[in-house]
Amino acid sequence: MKMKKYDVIIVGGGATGTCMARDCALRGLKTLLIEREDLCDGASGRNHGLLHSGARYAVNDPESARECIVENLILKQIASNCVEDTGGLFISLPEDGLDYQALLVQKCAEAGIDARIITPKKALSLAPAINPNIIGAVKVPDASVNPFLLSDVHALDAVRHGADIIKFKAVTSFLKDGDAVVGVKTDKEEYYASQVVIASGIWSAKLAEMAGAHIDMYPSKGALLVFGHRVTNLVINRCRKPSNADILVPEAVVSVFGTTSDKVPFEECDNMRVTREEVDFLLKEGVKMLPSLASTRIIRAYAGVRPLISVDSKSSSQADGRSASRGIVLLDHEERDGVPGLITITGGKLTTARLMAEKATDLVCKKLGIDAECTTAEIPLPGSYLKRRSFGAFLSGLGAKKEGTAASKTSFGTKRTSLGAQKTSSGAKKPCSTASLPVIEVEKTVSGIEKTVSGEKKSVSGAKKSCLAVRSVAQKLCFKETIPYAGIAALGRHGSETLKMDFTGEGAEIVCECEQVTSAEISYCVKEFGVRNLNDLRRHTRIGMGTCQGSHCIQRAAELLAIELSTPEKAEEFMKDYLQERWKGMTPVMWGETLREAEFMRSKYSALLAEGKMSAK
Amino acid sequence: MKYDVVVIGGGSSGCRAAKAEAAKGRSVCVVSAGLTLQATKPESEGSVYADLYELRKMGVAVLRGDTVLSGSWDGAKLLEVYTANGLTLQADEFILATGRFFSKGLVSTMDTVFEPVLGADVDFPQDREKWFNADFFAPQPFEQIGVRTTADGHIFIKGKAAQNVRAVGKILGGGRHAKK
Repeated sequence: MKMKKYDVIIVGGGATGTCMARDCALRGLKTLLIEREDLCDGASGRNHGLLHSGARYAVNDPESARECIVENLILKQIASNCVEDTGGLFISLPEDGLDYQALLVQKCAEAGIDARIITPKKALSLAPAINPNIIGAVKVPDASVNPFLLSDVHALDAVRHGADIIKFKAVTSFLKDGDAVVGVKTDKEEYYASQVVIASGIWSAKLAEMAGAHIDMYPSKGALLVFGHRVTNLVINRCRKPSNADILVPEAVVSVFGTTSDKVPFEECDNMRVTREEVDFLLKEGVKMLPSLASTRIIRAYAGVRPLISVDSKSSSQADGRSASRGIVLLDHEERDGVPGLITITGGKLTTARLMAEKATDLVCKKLGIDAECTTAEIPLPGSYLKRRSFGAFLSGLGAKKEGTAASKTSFGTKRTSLGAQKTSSGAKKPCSTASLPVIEVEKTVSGIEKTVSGEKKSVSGAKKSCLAVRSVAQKLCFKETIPYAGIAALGRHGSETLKMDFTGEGAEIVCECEQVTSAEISYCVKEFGVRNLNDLRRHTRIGMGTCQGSHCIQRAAELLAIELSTPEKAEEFMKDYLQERWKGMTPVMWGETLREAEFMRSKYSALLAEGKMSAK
Repeated sequence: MKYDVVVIGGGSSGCRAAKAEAAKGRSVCVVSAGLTLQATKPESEGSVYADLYELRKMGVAVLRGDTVLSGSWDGAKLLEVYTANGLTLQADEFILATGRFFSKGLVSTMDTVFEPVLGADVDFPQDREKWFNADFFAPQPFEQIGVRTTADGHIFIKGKAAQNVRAVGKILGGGRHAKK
């Protein structure tokens, strides 16, 4: 049995775990992340994909609201390729009245969220699909985030800063020295660390139990529907007390509507299926906000589990998760349960994952007696570049790279964001450690963020200017012939990491038409993310996530991936697993156009795979 | 326009039925929604291309790119059908060969399945959760959904058997094909 020693072991590769691995690695800790499946296999990959502005929490939970707006502005800067700055609306239907709107705007102002009342006419011009009978609208800085990529880039950066990530290995037990946790055990190996952090979402309860601590958690199921195109280009919220089925988020080529919130047994968490009642309910409510949803094709349904935590015993009996706090919960099990060496970070939300990681890492550092400051809010993630009007620095960086000069010494990587620059000028810390990262120099300071982060004046006006359309950058890059047109979608997803993809020859061939995934992007993801099969590849590229749900592309994709992994015999297995996984999401909404697609998928693949024609070939 | 037989749907089942009727010496018209089908020399036997090539040789009228929208009835007898391109087609006998869901021979909503051209009665499980099997590779109940027919393949309209309309092909539901 091998033995390895780390400063910190993080159990769970979701949004929080990957953010934390990066934070720990940046602070110089010897870090290991263990995930039983692929990254984002749990709730981190089964959520709304909404980067909250905080407006939704402003009335009920001002603390969460403040956390959200700060993190929202940070992520738009450090993970620009993962975020689409769509903006959002809170619309008031006639039956909702306008009382909540007034309260919302007031509370948003208090929390530092730029929420502005606009006329219903203006709202309809921004999003023509919304109910024309709305009586009011508020514009907020909500955005759409690709949760898979967000974790990917955090993991990527963690690894580039020395962290180890082990995927597809479950922690089977904890290694103890008396009461203290001193490491974890997987089926074959033991890993030792001074601190073990559980960041496993709803599965944290079970792990904590295993380690001799107790957390009172309850799983809250959230079901969502995926509609076949972008019904609007803004996030649409219903302007009322947060409740079920009141948010639509445009994401890549689709829109996601949800959610529900029902307490479910722990046994269901590993395999959740959306019920007929949930679909009927979501659709009934959705049509009130966006009438066209009634006739828009629903391509699939999925569900995730919120890890809600009962801080006091009363709330655990609540069947409805809406009233439970969505706040960040950091548990020091040494103090709480007398289990030294163990920490749990849970609760919170996707938007605040970085902050959760920061808080947990602070505690880890305190325990280890290490004095290292958090820099995750300032250093851009791999692929992120600031989408400013001037991208001259970016392009000259490209030029430098192409000509083979020392890229890291040019403007290519050494420029700092305004946030970073601020830090440097205040006399702290080493220079930006992401030397290979093209960051466009910000002409104007992003005043909104600085002010919000420093906690002085809260304004978000600057942030809006910071995110220009990725397309203009894409067009310029294509002009430069650095990235062909086929790579535009990859650029949208992976940002400047796209420069590492080889679009020569077959690299520029489109494999998945819906999401414009190229052969080059697949090769890149296989190399960087340790892809095992098509389902893994989907998380990193969105392959097969568009309207056809893979029925057109998976044969090509499976063969390509099998060759890429040097296991050509596996192509058939990849297809079977992928089809089964897509089927799971399609069946709850299998009528109309989705039933047509299902019949097509069946007639195309069931015979082909059943008879093993592929392997014969 | 008057024919002995009008075949609604130019897929493989429709073409096969049209050939069989034409071989009996009857005048036949096939209405096929597909525009891309080319009546050129077939590359392989049994393909739709082969069907169309043969149909043309047999003197069958093939209306490509047209769709039958509805029909008018005299009791249980279908008199004529109307196409998207504005044609009225009369016939002694009609053959419904519009296929299943993919080809829109059947249309499903959240809680019902209907046949959109003539309003033929459809047999389907009321609960949509029973339309599919959770295993992709298992036989799917929706592949068994089809129009209700008499023993010799005549469709029903609101519970009454139609005198002169038969259904062939996938619209019959899995495994049940028109008796030849």
